[in-house]
Amino acid sequence: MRKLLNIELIKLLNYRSFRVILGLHLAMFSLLVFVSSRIDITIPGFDTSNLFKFPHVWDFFAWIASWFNLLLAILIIMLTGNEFAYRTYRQHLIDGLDRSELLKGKLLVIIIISVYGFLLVFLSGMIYGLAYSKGLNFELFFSNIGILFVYFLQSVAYMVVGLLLVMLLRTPALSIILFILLRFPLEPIVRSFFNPAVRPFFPMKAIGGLTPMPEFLSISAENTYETLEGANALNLSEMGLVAHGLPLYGQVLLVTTYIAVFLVIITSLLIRRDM
Amino acid sequence: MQFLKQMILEINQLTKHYGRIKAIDNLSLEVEKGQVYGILGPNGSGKTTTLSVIMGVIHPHSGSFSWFGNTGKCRDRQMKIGGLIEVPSFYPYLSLVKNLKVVAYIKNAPFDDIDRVLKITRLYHRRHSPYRTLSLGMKQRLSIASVMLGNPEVMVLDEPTNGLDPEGIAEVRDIIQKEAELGKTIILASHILAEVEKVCTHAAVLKDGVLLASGRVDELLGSGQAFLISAPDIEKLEAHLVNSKIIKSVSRRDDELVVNCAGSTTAGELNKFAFDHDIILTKLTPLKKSLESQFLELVK
Repeated sequence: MRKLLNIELIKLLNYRSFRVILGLHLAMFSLLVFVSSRIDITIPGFDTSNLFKFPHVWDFFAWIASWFNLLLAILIIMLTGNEFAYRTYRQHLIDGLDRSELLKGKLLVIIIISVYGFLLVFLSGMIYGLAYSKGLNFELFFSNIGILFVYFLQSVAYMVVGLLLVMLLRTPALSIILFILLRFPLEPIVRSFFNPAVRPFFPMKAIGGLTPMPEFLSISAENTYETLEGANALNLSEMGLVAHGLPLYGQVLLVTTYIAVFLVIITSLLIRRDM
Repeated sequence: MQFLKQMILEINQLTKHYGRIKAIDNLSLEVEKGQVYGILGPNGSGKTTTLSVIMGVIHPHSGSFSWFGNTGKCRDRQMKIGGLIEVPSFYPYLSLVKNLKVVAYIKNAPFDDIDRVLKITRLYHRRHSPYRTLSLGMKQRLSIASVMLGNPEVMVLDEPTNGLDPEGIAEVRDIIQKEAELGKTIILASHILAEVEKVCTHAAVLKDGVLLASGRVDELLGSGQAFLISAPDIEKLEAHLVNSKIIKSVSRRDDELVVNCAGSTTAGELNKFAFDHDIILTKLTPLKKSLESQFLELVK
């Protein structure tokens, strides 16, 4: 495992597109949360700064971060597409790597990138949360921090979908286009032919639904601590999820299953196909 | 056990087809330790496919192969086999050293070996340049450096002199010969006959995926002298020669005969043969047989 990690790190750290895309991701996320914190809606009874207080900041930032998951998926598609374009996967096999190790290496990359995303949301959430909340209340701080792990799972899932596409098609451009189209409009069109009860079980829908849009209105309307504490944060996310028809844990389970299934497909593709 | 030759590679009735085209058809080969084994054939004869199969890159449709006598379709990662198939394959944005570090990790080779192989292939001065800045010949040399990394017992080389200038070709040949002298087993695919003749001890000739001939290079290619002979009664001479064991083949060219001799038949023996059959040769000229023509004869 350590060997695979070292190999992937050499490939990653020296790859300019990796640094550029990750830099873009960092810059766009930071700018967006900064800009949104400057928006001042002066409607009596509403206070958007509530979004930046614990525990809402976790939901809010995880949701914003999920917009940029596309970039992370593109990154993994490019990195893996390169292996086919440069014929380095083939050379790895000749040099003595196992076919399954090709996948393990890229899984490590996915985990590295997802840990970066997790830390980004965690650190910026903490900074804004501390700045906006009056003092640090540990109960509030931890009350909905689980959404960060859900966000982590989501970015892993998106990247695994990207990996599956590029392993199938072997060309990054086609895979990126298909990935974008799959989110919209391919899967939504296919979904529309199915019973509404089945629709939440489609992969892109399930993965996207992990970090639902925060309930802006209700959060903004709660301007006192009393009401904040009274309203269970988990309940709020469930309110958002009810519309999707699946509870959060069900959705986590579903996405985890999808990840496992996709990994099995990728493994069998790698093992069966000629390089 | 000493008298037993150590089997390095055994290929058994291997078949691989791409769609309707049979890339290799029922191919069987054996390579023993210390041999420099040439796989010779025109473009599209199945050389690269054969090497890709034995390196585990593509799956055969039927048949099997085994490295070091281990049966099964796979090769053990512990086996020290270095391989170069078709084009050099490296990360264009990584420097030579970093590219070789990736290879060293995969092969479990020590990093100090990187400098050694870069020096042998005369790329040491470019070690920090990105791979994409190399010329084609340098890229090819880096492939050979990468194959040698970790000092493998077996080297599998597919057209190793592709894209090299004459000096580079001589260098690569030199490297191969030095490795062979160290007792390494080398499997080399080439469509250049002279290359195979100069470095290989054994060879197999492929055409359209079918094995045409295999054996020692000197027997296969350089075997037997050819003569141009003539006599007053040419029909009688031809009839006697056809039935004799001292020649491999005879063909009529106007009123002369082109004779391919078997093994070590000399001009004297040929002359004596004619004399024994009461024929006086009026012409006996040794022919410098071109390897090219012999190769073409084989793949015809």
